[in-house]
Amino acid sequence: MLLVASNNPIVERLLDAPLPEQNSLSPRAREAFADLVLRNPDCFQHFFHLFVSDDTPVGLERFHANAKPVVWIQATHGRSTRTIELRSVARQETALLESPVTIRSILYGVRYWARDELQIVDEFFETARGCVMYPVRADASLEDTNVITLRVLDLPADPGDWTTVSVNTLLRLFCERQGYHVSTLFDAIRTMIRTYPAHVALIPTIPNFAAVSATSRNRETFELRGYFTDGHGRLISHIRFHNTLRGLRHA
Amino acid sequence: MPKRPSSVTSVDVTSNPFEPSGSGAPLVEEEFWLPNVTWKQELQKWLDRLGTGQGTRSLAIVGGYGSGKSYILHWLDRVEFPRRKVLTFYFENPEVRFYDLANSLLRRIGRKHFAKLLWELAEPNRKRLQQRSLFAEGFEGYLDTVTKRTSTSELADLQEAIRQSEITADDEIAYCLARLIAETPRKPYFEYRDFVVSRSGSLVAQGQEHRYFAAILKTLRVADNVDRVAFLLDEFEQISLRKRLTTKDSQDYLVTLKRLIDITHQGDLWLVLAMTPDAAEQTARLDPAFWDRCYRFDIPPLTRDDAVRLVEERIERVGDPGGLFESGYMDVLQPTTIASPRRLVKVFHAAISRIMSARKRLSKDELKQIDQDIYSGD
Repeated sequence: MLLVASNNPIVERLLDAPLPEQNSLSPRAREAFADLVLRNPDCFQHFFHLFVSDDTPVGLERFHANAKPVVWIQATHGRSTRTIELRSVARQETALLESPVTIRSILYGVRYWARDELQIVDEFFETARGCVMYPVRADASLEDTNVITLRVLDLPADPGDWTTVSVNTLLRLFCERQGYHVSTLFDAIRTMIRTYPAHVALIPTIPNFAAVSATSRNRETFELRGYFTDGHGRLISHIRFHNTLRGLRHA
Repeated sequence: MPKRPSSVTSVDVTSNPFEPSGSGAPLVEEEFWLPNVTWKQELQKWLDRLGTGQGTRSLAIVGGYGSGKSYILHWLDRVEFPRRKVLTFYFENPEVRFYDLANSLLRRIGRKHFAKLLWELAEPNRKRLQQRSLFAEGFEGYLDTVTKRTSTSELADLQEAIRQSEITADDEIAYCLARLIAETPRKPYFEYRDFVVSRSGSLVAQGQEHRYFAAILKTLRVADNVDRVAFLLDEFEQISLRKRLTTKDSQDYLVTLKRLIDITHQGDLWLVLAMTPDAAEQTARLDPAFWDRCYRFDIPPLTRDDAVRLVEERIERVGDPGGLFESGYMDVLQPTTIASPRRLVKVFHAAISRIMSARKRLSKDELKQIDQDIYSGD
């Protein structure tokens, strides 16, 4: 028999949401589901508490408003024991995932769900720092791409005709600090190239150096998430734009 | 800046001064010059400081693909360093490990030649020489005496002579170098395994690679009567291209850099690394302390004036720029093309090819079309 906690208003919201389309939750269902997962005491105690300073589970709204990034790294202790360190900015503490079961359930369970299905966090890799998981903004909209494009063009200018900025800097500025999805930032870069092809240049890097610290094929794929890939399949580490674009954008 | 001649409608250009791929520097020494005087001043200022023994002795030349890194390395290699009595070695796409550099360097010089240099420096200090003959026997004569197994006393004599010639003060390194000389008749070439530590027959002792390397550099410097040796390492980021780096390989990469930098502190070696911005930033993140010891020169994008200078200096070799292109031709190119030496060279290679086949000057519209055909939506 299937029991539904229909007296729980969040469950009610979930049941009222449109059915999933193309294997993807509708935005309303996703919000309700995220709210439920965040309020789950086990999920909070083992994972989501690292994003906030609260000691009891928080709802989606509070999570969006107060959550801070968590950086995770792989650490190996001894010969074969793999440990995951989760460094919390909000709590200024480090949590350890030490057993294979814990790693599977938290890192490849709750984290994947939070990132890919619920879309309440996103992440990118930064060499010598780790994987930066950050809460995404609540008010994501289709306009975000244009907003980011304009803000990139507003970054401090280099001397001379051109300004060069690294994709990593943009990830920190727009994703980690302002909560935009990595894919939204990359869409903004595509928009810049498409709109100003003669005034925007991409500076590629090579995959093996981009993932210089990767020790496996999977790890390499993961680390390359921090790079933008252009239409030719090149990994882009930096963008250079002509300083005259700063004037054009007001036209 | 060249003077613009009067308008010419028919032209006769017999060779194209631009390489088709824009992939590198021309091979003739006289043709090396930097399109921007500020770059030259900044690089020369760094070299001047080094000459007086101040500052770091490693330079990172940072730029994207096609920005002119290899060109600057060639300029240093063939123009600026020789002028300063610095012996240069240019390495393209170096390997990860320290001994790969030693291997590459010594195979280039040749074992017999290097052994001869070393022997000639050590020979005046050999005691057994005076006991054996009244006349100097020369390196070939010496080799005849050691074709069979070298005696322990012979090796000890060479070791002491090397130490006294001040190539190295380290007994173990002096012994390695003595073996290098004495075993040359049996093996007149270097093998990769010679430099792989912990292998049987290796010339390099575990953990001593950098000292061994320093002694090799000193030999080259003294033998060639130069003030210093400079290594120019191009495409530094490509070190990992051939295979995935294991954790140990990643460490080797950093260890290689650190050891090279350690050697530069002794003043005999200058190190110039050309790398992409990503490689520079990754290296800085992996090892900030190391990166602090590098002077960084970021290659700026070409300005319009730089671009005109680059193009017209090349064209002057085969004709008059004003005869080949309409006035203000540079202004029709995309800013991204003007900023990049490689793109510029490729566009003008195509433009000059068109001029050579049509035997007439190119209009601005035609030049613009060439640029857009090559670089549309890039």
